Amino acid sequence: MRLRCFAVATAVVSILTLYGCRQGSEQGKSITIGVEGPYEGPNAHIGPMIMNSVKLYFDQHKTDGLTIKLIPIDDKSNPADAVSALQAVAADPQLVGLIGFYNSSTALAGKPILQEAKMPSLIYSASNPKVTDDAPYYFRLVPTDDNQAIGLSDYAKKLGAKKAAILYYADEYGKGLADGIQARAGSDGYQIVSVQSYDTATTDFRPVLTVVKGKNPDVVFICGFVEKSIAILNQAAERGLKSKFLAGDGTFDEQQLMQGAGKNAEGLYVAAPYVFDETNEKNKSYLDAYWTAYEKGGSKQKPASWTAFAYDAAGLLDTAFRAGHRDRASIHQFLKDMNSPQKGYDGITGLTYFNPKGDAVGRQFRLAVVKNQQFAAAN
Amino acid sequence: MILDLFLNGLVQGSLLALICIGYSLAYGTAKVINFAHADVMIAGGGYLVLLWVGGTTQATRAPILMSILFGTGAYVAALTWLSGRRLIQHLLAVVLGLATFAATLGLAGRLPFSAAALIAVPLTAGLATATYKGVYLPLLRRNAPRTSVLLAALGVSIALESYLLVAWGSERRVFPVALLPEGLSAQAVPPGVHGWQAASQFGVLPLTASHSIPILDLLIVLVFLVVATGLGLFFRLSRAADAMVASADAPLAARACGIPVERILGQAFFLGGAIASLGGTLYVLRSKSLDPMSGFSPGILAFAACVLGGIGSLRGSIAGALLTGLVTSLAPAVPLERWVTACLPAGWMRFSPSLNLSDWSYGVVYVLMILIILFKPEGLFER
Amino acid sequence: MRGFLSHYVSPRTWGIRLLIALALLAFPLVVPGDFVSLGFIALQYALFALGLNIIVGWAGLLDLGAAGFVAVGAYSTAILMTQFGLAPLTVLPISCAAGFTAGILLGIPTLRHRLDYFAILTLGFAELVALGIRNWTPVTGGSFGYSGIPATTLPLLAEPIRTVPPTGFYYLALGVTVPVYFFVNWLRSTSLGRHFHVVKHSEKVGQVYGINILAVKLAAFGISAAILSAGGFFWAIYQRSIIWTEFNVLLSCLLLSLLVVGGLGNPKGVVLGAAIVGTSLELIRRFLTTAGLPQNIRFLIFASALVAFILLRPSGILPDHPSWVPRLRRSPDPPDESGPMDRSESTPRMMLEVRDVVKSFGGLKALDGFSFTVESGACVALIGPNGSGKTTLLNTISGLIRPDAGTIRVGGSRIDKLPPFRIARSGVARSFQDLSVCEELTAEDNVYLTANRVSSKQVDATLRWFGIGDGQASCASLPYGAKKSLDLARVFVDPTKLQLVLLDEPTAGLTQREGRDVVLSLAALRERQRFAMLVVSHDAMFLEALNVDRVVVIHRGRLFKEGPFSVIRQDEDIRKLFWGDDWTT
Repeated sequence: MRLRCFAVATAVVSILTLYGCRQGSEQGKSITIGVEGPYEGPNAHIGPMIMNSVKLYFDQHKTDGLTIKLIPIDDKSNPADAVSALQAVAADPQLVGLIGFYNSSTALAGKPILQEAKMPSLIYSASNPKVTDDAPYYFRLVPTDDNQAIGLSDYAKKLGAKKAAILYYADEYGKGLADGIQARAGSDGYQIVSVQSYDTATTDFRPVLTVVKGKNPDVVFICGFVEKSIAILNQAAERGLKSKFLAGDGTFDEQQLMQGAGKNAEGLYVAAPYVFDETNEKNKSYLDAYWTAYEKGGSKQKPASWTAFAYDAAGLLDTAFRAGHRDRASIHQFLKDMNSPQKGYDGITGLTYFNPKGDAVGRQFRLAVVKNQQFAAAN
Repeated sequence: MILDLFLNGLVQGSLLALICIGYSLAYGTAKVINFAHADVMIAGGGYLVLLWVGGTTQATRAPILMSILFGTGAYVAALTWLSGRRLIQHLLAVVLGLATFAATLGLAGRLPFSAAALIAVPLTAGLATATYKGVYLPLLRRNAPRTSVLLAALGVSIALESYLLVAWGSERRVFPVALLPEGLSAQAVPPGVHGWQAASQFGVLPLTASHSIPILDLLIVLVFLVVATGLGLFFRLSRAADAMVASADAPLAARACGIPVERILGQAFFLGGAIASLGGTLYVLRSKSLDPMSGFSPGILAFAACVLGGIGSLRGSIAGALLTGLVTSLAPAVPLERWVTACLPAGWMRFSPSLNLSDWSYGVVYVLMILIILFKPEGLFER
Repeated sequence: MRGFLSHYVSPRTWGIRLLIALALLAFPLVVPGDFVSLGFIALQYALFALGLNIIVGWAGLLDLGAAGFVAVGAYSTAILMTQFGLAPLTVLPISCAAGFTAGILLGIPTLRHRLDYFAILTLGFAELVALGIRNWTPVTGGSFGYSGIPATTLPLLAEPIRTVPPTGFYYLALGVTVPVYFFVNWLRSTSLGRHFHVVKHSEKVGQVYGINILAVKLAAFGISAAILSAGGFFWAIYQRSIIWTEFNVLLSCLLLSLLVVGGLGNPKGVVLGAAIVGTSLELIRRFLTTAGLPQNIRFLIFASALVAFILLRPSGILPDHPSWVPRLRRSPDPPDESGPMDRSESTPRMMLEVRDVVKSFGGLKALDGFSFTVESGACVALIGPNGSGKTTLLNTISGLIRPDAGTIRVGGSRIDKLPPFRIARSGVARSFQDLSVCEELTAEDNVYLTANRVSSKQVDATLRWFGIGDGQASCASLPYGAKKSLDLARVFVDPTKLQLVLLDEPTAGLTQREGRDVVLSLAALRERQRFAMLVVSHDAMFLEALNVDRVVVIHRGRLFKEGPFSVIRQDEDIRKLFWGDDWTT
């Protein structure tokens, strides 16, 4: 009896306390931008890098009378987490723009929510073509995977491959890329002898690699992210699989790759959405600023290329703010109007402007090769 | 190809066997299904990496949290063995715990591989004993219902796993391959290099033109054989082993004979933990990364392997482990897809589940385990 | 409904109930937006907890694979809503039905096993379910997950329910969880609810009291799985995107911790535990996000809380009430106690016929071609040295063991191939040699637990009959003799249906006086009800006082001798067989 009274009283008191804990909204001239990406999970190193890059831009380019708040939105590379994280913030009226989506799967999962919230989103990495299907609020800065599949497949032809195997990560990105490569295989003159998928739970690739080795492919495509690609490369060396490896841009992460696979990554070809070129003025100043801000006395490893796109995305938004667009609708319109080279934005990745679908025009994947533990342009 | 898969299966089975021994010892003596065992193993692997490489990207958090964990483990484990007056017992245990804590913090990242392994093994075993003394013993002492014991085991397992995730971060900790001793890290062997040179420089021993064995795999099988023979001799020849068996089968009578049952059970956990930490070390070496979440999946697989073979019997669980390793490795070679597509009309294939047995390799083991429990619960190879 | 609504409820209790109802209804209106989702989560977890409690708390079966049932509910919801476009309210019952079926399917192979193996089996099955979902991409989306579950639309509402703030979901969950809570409480008050407890306490007791243990366990599984699937339904419609990795052992463990923290077995406790654990986890998650700390601290906290509770307070915050067993308020017509029952017309002459029964255990032949009979209304004693097969014989007759060969007939029909509960239902009852009463319940509740529709008057009378003065005393506090008498009281509480009673050492451990009381009670009962009795006993005084008609002597599984009590008593061979020379009179 007593316990019951106590329980009820506690319940009432806690409800009132929660009510009292309501936070008031901030007043003043401040805008919030969401920086969406994986801060935990298999690609946890990406999110902080992206945030660093965006933050770097706004630290370098301050506007008087305007405070820009950056909030991290963590999707853990998992669509369900992306959905719940976005649902939690989409209602906030201060949040006027999003820089987001490392994975295509999370971009696709978040689409309906951002659509409904009419949130303009700039995409720095998700490359599956379906991401911008029916997505008036998505603006993608990176090249798309149909281009990537063609690039990879044509390079296999260049290497003279007659037989190829595909290992793909089971999400929209991996499967999309694998499908694209399979579609090109015939016209590029090689035969696909084995297609295997893996997912986040797969750690032991040895049986699969042994089966693939038995089919003797000249080339093995890896369509997935760097974490698993490292394991594949190491275990392939163990098993004595001597094919040439071509990987999608999910593996384009120099720091992780060299650390994890070391000599086993030598000779790996990777598709890159963007390769930093230290002879380029803008690239150099960006890299220097990044190292000064975040890696004082460190190893001067180049950050992942997507940070460049995030930096440019920040620049795009900043241009919008300076032009007086401070809410979702007008920012959206501003971005939509950026549809010709004259109205484009000139950033470190080049001139950015969008086609009606929302993809940046003129972007292409390039092939890089690992030489002496570094990425170099492949020819 | 079959030969390759078979050899891989043996290696996989050997690793599993090292884990299974611990399960079997825990179940055989304390009648506890120690779910936390695999997580202790991964913790041990992490501890080794900490001492050898350092905290990698979690430079401050990992050393501190791991030191706390193993320091506490040492403290609790010491309590199991030290006898004498309670105050002195606790004091000594605290000293030991603090020493472990300080040593870990101080030595993190500075030790060569062998020294790190030498320290990590007994401390991991201590952690295993600590789980026994801290959680299982109080429950067993008051005759708690089986439900509670099983749940507590699950709870400890998850707590340990999350602790490791907090310490190391949820991303798979890839540590610099460059730090591995050369002979243990497999690389592609350039043509023309053979024998010992290939083994020491590239970590792979070429057998024939198309087959080769990684040195690490050979090491794993060797360690397993040594451990298995050692255990066999231990249980045949040593008095301590007799005491262990007595404590397991008839604790009341054993106590009456003056055998310190609780201490003996603690020793069983210690033994199991030590062997598991060997397994953890080799596992970390083989996967070249530290993934705290990976404790659970091979844990359940190892558990299924034990049950397959007979969880109460050491021989049974080792046999079960080897069998499981072979099954998971050879499964992808079975061309199930080809057979089914040959039999069924094409329209069915659209809605069929994946017929690629490499996706189902764990599933096959679980199915076998379920069948064994249903029809022969003592396991395939009972004592 | 009787058991639930029929006890007197004070105005105060009604007042509190009204307050709670108002609080629940008004919650989303007074609380800021982001906290409404806490309420929703608490309700969802409460649903999980209520479901799992049936299997783990009431039936005592440790199911480590609860996440599998949640997955069945979530995926069936996802597929039905997305592929077939069904409305959410239509999908809910279908999803529950799918869960129910899954529960039954899982139950059939697993339910015959003991606790440890049962737990392992459920774990294995849950892993297989997760793996199956992962590998069945065309149907479940496999590793891609199942996303794009449409927004939830309810009838009479123009717009679909939004997720933020989840006021709509809160009320929907309230509308499901509250009826389930009442349903669960009602379930406990039915005979099925009692049977769950019997399964947990002792299966063999349940079987000899006519309970179909397998059916009860299957029912527990099915209902539990159906409720867990309802929780899965909410999971799918709220998140709108599900993936196989969410339904892992971690989730099963989380669901179990809801029960342990709250109070295993007690529906109120379990709901409280769910609310506390669910909301704390969510609050901690938010705190960790704003503080920038890793989310895994959450799991660390809940796992440590689980272990701490098990070590320090295993019964939970609101432990289960020791006297929850329902009893009828309105008593059925009391049995006619005027004169002895006339059984001569319907009953055959031979009540029990055992012919050539053989039973071996490994190499040991416990029964080796044993034959004897018991006439209707007769009282036969079965004696024999230790290990001669007496208890085995009783177990065989009551069906707990199946004989290797031979036949057993009760009332003319063969029973040796029947499951024990059918044998019991045909009028065969027995008592046990070892203590088989449920210690944690009161004496009264022990009788109610196994009886089928008895009135409180009957129970009180029977308890007094067998010398147990205080029915409300906890069993644990009763002396040994009283517990044995309680066992007898259980058997005889409703004597009208009894045809054959098997008593296994009813006076072992009793004092002389207690034994004499038992004799008097039994004699009086026999006088009135005229059932046949087979008594196994070492106690010569007891047998003599009971006035047994015949004595059958069993030795090494075979019939040694039989005859009237007076003859057997003097027999030299028998005396030598048992006691050497000393038979105390």
